[in-house]
Amino acid sequence: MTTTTDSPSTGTAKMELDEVQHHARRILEAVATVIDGKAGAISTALTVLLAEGHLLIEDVPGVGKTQLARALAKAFGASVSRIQFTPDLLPSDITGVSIFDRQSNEFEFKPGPVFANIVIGDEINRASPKTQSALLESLEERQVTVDGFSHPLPDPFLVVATQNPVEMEGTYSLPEAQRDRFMARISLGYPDAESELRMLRQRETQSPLDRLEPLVSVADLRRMIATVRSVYVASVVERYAVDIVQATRVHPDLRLGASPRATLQLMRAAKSWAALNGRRFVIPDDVDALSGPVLGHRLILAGRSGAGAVSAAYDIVESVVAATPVPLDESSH
Amino acid sequence: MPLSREPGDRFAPGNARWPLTALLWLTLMMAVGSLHPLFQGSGWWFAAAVVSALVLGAAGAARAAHWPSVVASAAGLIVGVLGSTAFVSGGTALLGIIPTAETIDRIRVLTEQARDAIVSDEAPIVVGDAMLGVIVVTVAAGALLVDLLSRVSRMPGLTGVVFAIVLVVPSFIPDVDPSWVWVVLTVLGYVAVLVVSTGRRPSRTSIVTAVAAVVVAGVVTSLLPVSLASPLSNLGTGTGISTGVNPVINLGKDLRRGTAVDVLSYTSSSAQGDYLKLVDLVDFSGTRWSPASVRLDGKNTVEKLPQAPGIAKSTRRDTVTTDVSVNLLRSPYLPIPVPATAITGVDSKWKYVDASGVTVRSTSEGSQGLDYKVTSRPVDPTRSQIVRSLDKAPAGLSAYESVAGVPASITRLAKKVTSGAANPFDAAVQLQDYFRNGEFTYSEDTPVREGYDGSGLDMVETFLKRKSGYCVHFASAMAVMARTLGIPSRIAVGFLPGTQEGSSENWTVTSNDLHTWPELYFQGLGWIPFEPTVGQGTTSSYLQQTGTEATPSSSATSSASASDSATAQATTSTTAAPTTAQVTTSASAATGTSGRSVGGAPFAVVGAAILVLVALLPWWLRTSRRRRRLGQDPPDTALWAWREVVDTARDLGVSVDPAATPQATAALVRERLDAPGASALERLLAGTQRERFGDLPAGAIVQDDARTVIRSLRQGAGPVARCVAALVPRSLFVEARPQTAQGA
Repeated sequence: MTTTTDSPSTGTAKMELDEVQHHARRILEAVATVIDGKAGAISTALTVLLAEGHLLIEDVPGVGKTQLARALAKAFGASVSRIQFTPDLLPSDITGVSIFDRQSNEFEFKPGPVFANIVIGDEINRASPKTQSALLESLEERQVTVDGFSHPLPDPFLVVATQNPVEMEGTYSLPEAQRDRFMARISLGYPDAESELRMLRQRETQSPLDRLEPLVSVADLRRMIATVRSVYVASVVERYAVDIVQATRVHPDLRLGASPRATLQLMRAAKSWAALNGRRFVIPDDVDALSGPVLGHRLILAGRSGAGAVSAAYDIVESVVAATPVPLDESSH
Repeated sequence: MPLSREPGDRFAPGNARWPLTALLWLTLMMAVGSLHPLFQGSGWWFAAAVVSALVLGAAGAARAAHWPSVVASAAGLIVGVLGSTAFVSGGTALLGIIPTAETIDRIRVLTEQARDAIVSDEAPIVVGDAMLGVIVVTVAAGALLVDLLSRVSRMPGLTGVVFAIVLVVPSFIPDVDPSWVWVVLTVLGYVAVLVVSTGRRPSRTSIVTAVAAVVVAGVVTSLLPVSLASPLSNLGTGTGISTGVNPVINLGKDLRRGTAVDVLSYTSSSAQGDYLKLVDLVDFSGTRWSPASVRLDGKNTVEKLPQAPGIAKSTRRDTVTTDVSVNLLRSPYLPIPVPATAITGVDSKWKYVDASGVTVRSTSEGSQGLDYKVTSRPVDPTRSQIVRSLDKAPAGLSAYESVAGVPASITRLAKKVTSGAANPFDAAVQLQDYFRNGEFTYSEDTPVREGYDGSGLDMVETFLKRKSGYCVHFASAMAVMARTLGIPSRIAVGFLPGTQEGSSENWTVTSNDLHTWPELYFQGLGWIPFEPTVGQGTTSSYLQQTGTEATPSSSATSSASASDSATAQATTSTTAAPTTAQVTTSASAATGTSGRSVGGAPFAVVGAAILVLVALLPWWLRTSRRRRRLGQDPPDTALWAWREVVDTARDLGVSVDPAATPQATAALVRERLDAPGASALERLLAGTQRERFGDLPAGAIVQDDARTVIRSLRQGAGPVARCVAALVPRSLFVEARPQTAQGA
């Protein structure tokens, strides 16, 4: 089971580093026409997707979470499906169902919307926990099992889920175990006045999303992912990432630190970030840049919750990163 | 010093660099050659050459065998120890080269002997086993130091300091002219070392260093017309005075000191105060008077001292108790009033010496800071007791009667001066009068200026013609003349009574009170102290002629002196005038301005040199660290170049967070750089990241980039910051501290 999740792209030809950078730049520019003034969030999102991670976008309604998810999906020219999570959504509405075919006298599997390269799960926290878990299990296993048959999901398979902060009405907060399956969480925040003004004018006539053409084929996407996988990580950098994660586990302000899965995903995200910056190897600054989005949503603060907790968790990650020494050689640790 | 292009290759293990090693050895031996005027013969030079060649050769061979540099130097050390042992062991070592416990004992004895020789002998010193051992070990240590500097520290240029130190040594020794041939050869050798070590023509800096070394050697030499006679015993004292084993050697110099130092203070029951004696000088067979050689006997403790020889039971004696507190005097002898009968308050290290019965000696120069009580019983014979003693012949005092080598002119003069004396005692008193009340003048400088400073027979002869000198000349002249008249004599070295504090019993003795006086032996009276030095001290009241020809002037002097203390202001008699001038005043007046500057110069120069060396130590450590770091081989080339740049930035006041990534650190450093520096920093950063995180070679070019960045950092800093960075490099003393508190 896990072998399929670990190597869906094994054997895929790699792409030259500068070509990866070139594609990434075009995607970022294109997406930026849809979401104004959020370059940081967009490049983090792209980084996570190229690292084969799933992305959680968490923010108040109306700031463009879904726009971002759709723009990214469209830019890749991959198969995209969108699931609007509602309280009455059933698991089979996501995974698909087996239907009896009278002509062949057999049960035939009708794939659900999860069978796509990029799945947008809108307002995932509005569905019941049972339905949520139907999606989230496929996140980890990259396959769907219905009536005893396993159906592999397409490669690549990337989920971009959006959710509203937990205070909003009619929401079921994602449990910790489920949150852990997302590689990173980002939030968009409100645009500044100028961006908002520009957005107003542009959307008078047509949604910019409609003008967005696919920029990268699925094959190219696979090759980009393969390149990201091949980025080199020195043992001192691995050690640095482990030091950061371990520091969150003993931090006095945290009830729960980051998991070993978090370390793994932090490293993968850092590799992707390095590749997007045109480097064949990861430097500690890559780890620093990704540790907030990758670790922030996994931490449970001691005695705090709610919207304020998001930024508090980011602050803690930042302080941990700043205090963790960067080893330059094995002995200096 | 020039930076090498590919230091990694040239200092790599396996590269013995024999030409450099050979040059270093040659240059060292040239420098050691400049010590030729100090020692007799040349065998010592060849011995030193062999051992230093062994040390450098062993280290070089170990490097050729790909041993790490430090280990190779250690090999040199071991071979040096074995080689030195072969020269000093004298059959106590295993197989002749492996030191045993016995060898260590022997080395201790030899060291002490060599020390005594250095302190008391005059150059050129005869090189015995002890001296040879010291020379060989010192030169071997020098060779090891040269090896460490040139190979481990990778600073061959700094070996110039070692050579310069060796070259300066002769200028600290009296009556030795440094030989310029050796100096020039050494400098040529050093320049050759620089050329060979850098592989190109020497930079201006290294030539300046070489020339500076020579100039410093020359300047130090010319600054020291009065040299330090005994560097070993004097270097450490700074302010106090130190007598060594033969105190007469330094006496003139100590008298000429610009400022007097408090040597000791005492309270005495004697109204005139006490002459305090350190040691007797018995033997003038050499070039100067020297103490009888003695061996300390463990049983000779000082609580009860033996009877002073030759004093008849019937002779009238006083009993004087004296409490002495020694201040700034380092001496192996205890200053005591004589003849002492008991001393309390000193430990068992102090023993009396059998030969004279009154000298108290320790094996160390441990007199500083002692407090002790002495009971002494000076004779005060009546005239009849003196007369009674005259017909008794002295016995067993041949050592004090030797007149070997005394020029006839002195004998003739002695006869002439004492022609009217009825007996030896009267002759002695007449001799004293001849010096004290005649044409003689007191001067501490004339003998130095006219080249007869000293106590040897030649000096005595010249002094008797010129009639100007200080206590050493008066005392040795009178002692020699007394011997020609058949009176046993010796010279006591010690202190005048000093200055009385008001009319109390408290006396203070300074370095200006250093003194020598003759003691003459009369059977029944024992050793009687005389005071021939004009204008100094007091004479005892019983020192009057017993015969019929007692002169009025003599008795007037005696009585005046007897009734006054050394510090008394009495001006009652004509002869008392010089006497009553306070000892301190007369000494410093005679010293004059030239004496002042000369006396302090050696200490000032040596002290300043040591201070400068100590102050430069952090700079040296930092520079050698930089050199080492910028000469690292792959795979750590960039790592060390990076660390060096970060440390230089810290030295120059950039506060660097050790937890920060190289990129973040570079952003901080970049603010201080000019454009070329900034682009060099970018290359260095990229190289560092490639090497540390990408497992790719950074290339030696990053070392040049690091140098560019360091130069740019320095140029951007103010002159004060640059000085602070050079002399007190932060990175050497303070670990970088994280700036973000964890868990904030």
